[in-house]
Amino acid sequence: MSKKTAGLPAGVMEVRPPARWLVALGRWGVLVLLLGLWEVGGRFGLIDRFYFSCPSEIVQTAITKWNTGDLGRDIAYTATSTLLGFFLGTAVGTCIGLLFWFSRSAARIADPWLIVINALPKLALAPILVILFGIGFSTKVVLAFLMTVVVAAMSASGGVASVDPALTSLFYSLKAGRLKIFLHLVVPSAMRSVTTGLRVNIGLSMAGTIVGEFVASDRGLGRMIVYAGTTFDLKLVWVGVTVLSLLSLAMYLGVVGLEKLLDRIWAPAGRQQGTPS
Amino acid sequence: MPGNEYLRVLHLSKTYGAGQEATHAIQDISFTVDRGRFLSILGPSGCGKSTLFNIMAGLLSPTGGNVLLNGESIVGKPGHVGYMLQRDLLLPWRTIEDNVMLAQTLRGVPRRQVRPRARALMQKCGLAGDGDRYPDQLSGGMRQRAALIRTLLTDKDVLLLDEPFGALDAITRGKLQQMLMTLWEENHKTILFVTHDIEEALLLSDEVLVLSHRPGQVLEHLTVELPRPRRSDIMFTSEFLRLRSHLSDMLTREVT
Repeated sequence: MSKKTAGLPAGVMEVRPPARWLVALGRWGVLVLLLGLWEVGGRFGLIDRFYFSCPSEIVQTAITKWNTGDLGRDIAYTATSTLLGFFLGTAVGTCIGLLFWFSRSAARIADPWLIVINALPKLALAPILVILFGIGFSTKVVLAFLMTVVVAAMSASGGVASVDPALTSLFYSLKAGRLKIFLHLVVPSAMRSVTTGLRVNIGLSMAGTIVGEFVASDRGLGRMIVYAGTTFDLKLVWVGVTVLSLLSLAMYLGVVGLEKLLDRIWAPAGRQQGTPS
Repeated sequence: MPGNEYLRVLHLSKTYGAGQEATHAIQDISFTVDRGRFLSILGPSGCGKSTLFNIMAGLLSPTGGNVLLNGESIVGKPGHVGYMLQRDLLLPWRTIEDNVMLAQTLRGVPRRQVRPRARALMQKCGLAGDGDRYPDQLSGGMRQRAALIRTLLTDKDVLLLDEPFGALDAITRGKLQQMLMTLWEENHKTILFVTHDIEEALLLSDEVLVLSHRPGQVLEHLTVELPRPRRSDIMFTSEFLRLRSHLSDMLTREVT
């Protein structure tokens, strides 16, 4: 932005970042271009509309579906189970991870198990969960919970492990008890690590919910997609995919906002952890 | 000086590990400090200075020996001395004011009870307008001052300062040394100050304890009979120069 590079030989320090409006224009331009090509290709028969539909058709189908009230209901269903699973999984996992601070041996024992559990394909448990919890809401929440709880526990225990030992010494020298150290040192130190886990978790939570709906459900965007697929209503599949993408984008942005909020509480002004001097 | 033998370190030893791999960090260290004195501990790196301080702060148990404060053993009992570690260790998520009052927060003392004293000390140390700022908005010298205030506000009579000015530039360092002198005189603390800077030790201290290379042992415990208050031009007096070359010789022999 600034043009105060006077006095410097040309080309040395003059690598200016591109103007913001140009970047924004370029990014939206790519979207418009892709949608335009898709639309034009569909209309002129370059793309098979049976399989790939085209943007205008997708919008039309979506509007029709919205007007019947089905689409709104499905969005609410999927969003609620995703968010519920995300918050429960993250909260429980974070608590477990933080509590490992109280017992080093428990943390050491749990360490390989967390990795094993994290590597397990939890989505493959869906058929069993359907039998256990039925085809309703709770199965999706349980799947979303299972997807997020381990990542949250690992982020939190990683944060706990990275607490500066010199700071722990300082707290002990001030005669602080374990609980005081936990509340005033361990939890705030681990927060940065916890918040970085949130972005991963919102995506995992949605994957859990959708697979739950794929396997057995009478509602939700996942079920809508499966149903549309089996009846060869591929336009509706595209509606489902589009709406899911937008929903996941909205949730991602929400989590980024949440992260900023948490950062402001634990590391004000969005600052980095103090570097050792 | 009244209140003699206030702080006594008796035959303190610490060995890490066992058998062939055992490291003797310190061996049979004994000394006493009277109340209100300023003692510097001078030694090459690896003389076990930090081990000694960690034991005195109650964070580490010695292999042998004892530490008595007012005749009572404080081994394994944290909270009897104020301990300032090498780095400033300010918590990045707390403001400077909240950082200097950390000891009170942990003890559950209400802030408003300490705030006037905290503010007065911050004023004295040139941090008057910085109470609401965060540690990473401050320079290294300012952070170190905040850490020093936090140590003073622990309200302990004995302060252990582990190379507090080691990472600072010469000018900032000189300023902080003067500030420490003033604070020490006003607050009647007993200070143990680890350094490997001979001039710093002589400028600040009543007594200097020289430790050997590993295992750390007491080589000499000398008294610095320089008049107070001292200013930096004391470094050009003949007594100062004599002590400096004496200590310098001793440490050079240790390192080689």
